[in-house]
Amino acid sequence: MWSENMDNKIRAAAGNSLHGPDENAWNNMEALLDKHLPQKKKRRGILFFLLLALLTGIPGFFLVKKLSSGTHTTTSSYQKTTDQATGRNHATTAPAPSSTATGTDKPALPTPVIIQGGNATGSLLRSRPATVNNNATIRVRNSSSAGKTAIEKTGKPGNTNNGTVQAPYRQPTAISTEALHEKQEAPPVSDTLSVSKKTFSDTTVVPPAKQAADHPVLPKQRPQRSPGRISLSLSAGPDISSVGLQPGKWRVQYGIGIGYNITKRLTLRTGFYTARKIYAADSNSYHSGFNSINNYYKLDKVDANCLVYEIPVLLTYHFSRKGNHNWFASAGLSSLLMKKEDYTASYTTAFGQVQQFDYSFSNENSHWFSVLNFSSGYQYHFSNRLALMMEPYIKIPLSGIGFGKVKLNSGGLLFSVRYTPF
Amino acid sequence: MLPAEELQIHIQGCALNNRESQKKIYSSFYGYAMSICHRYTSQEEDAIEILNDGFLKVFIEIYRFKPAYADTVSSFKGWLRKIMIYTAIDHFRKNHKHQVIGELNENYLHIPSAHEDAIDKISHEEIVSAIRYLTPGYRTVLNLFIIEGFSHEEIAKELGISTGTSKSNLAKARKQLQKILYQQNQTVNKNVV
Repeated sequence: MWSENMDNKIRAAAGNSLHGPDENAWNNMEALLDKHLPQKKKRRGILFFLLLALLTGIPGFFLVKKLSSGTHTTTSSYQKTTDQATGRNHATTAPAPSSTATGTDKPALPTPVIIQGGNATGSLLRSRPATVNNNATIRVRNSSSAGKTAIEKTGKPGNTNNGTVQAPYRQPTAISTEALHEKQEAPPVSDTLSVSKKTFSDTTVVPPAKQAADHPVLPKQRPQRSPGRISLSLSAGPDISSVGLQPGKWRVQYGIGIGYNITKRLTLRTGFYTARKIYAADSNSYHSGFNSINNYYKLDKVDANCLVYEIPVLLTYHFSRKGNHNWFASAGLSSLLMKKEDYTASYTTAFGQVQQFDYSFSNENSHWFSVLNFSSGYQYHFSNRLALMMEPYIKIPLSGIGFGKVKLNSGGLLFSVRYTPF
Repeated sequence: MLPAEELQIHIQGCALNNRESQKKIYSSFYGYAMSICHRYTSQEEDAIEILNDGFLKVFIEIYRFKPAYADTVSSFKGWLRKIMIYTAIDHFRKNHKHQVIGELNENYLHIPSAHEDAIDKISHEEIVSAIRYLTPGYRTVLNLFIIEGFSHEEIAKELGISTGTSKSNLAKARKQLQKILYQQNQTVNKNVV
């Protein structure tokens, strides 16, 4: 007959544990894990190099393009060049006029503008002012009504040494250079001052224009430098994060940035920022990690305290500058590196008791280009080099963030000091 | 066996698919898990297959694990045990479903039932070994009812059989186990003599 004693003996026998595994047992298990739970390969390195290529490639492209054209700047030193079409050597120096023309003299000629590196068509029309010695700016404009090309010169008065442009002036003055006299004997240049390709090589001597005599007096203008390309910034400001409608705690975000002016209106910015994100979320916000299907435990909420590194890549559009200030707008993508994640998960048991469990992770989650970054702001220019920016922003995740894969939104106000060294 | 604090750390590591933590937990609970799997199959290879499948389920779902009470180790053992049992049931349903209603091994048909006194002298290892000799259907029902504490209704639901079949198999399993133990006891006595 079977008795309860037999059942007890069987239960007791079943309670004994066997010995531990040999190495071969783990190898088989590891193979099974590699098949069903493969470990993710960290692609951080590849994405880092992609980002580096993006940041260096764009400015590098524009730099190479600028160097390869080489037709838009005027050298500060004058060089003796050869006119290939005429076979003559034209001195390209432009000494200051030494005499004042009278009404009976030949039409006075203004100091010729020597512009090196004329473009292929010989046209001297350009959108950016050329720069010569002593901060003098030379602009060439085409008076279409008169069919002539006038030359405007500005600069500090009293520059009389060679290679400088004298300005301002009221009446045209005689030119004493040999080249200029030679040029006077030549047929007049057509209205647009465009010269055939055969005439110009890499040096162009602008013939005097009749309108130069009537050239208006230009007011003194402060010399304007071309805007710098690369800027550096230091930033700090309040930041807040939230999951859903439950806001977190305000903390300070700070970091450094670098920007590259693609055009006058567009700037590409990136940098490295750090912030501590403190927020809370309920069980509905979590899609992995803390969720429990155990009927005994019910997840109530998770309190999070995370140290986050951010690398944004933003394209900024600057609206028209009025005086010392302008408005701007930015958009781009940010990458979040979860440096440290601390979570406290609160559960309610079937008996109504509340229990909490702490979790901590370091360098476990990275979200590359996973956050949309929008901002707009105001910029005040102390000078051409120094500016102060005030920039409210919002950040919207494209994927779950952190261990719990939550939709972590952020917002705040960033104050930046921007310096353009070159 | 791992202490509670270390177990908690490795559970977190397993939730992140850390191989070192998985190996640590596997090694620590291997003996305990194998003692469960051994009772559900007569072949060593099948026991290892059930064990590894069970641990795979453990590592996949470990992020859901929450201690049911203060003792983390006991909670984890209970959770691990449940997974191993259901993995063994799945293995049985996949491989031996047609053997739910089995016949007694003919070798044991003419062996008288062992007396209770003799049963007391049998070691735990012999009892476990005898259980492994049962036919698969009887073995599974006996394990689930006597050792795991399942009711006949629960056994019927898990194995896809009727409650009556579960009760019948249990009775037959007990009878067969007695005969196997008697056979083993007789064999030991002969060797001693």
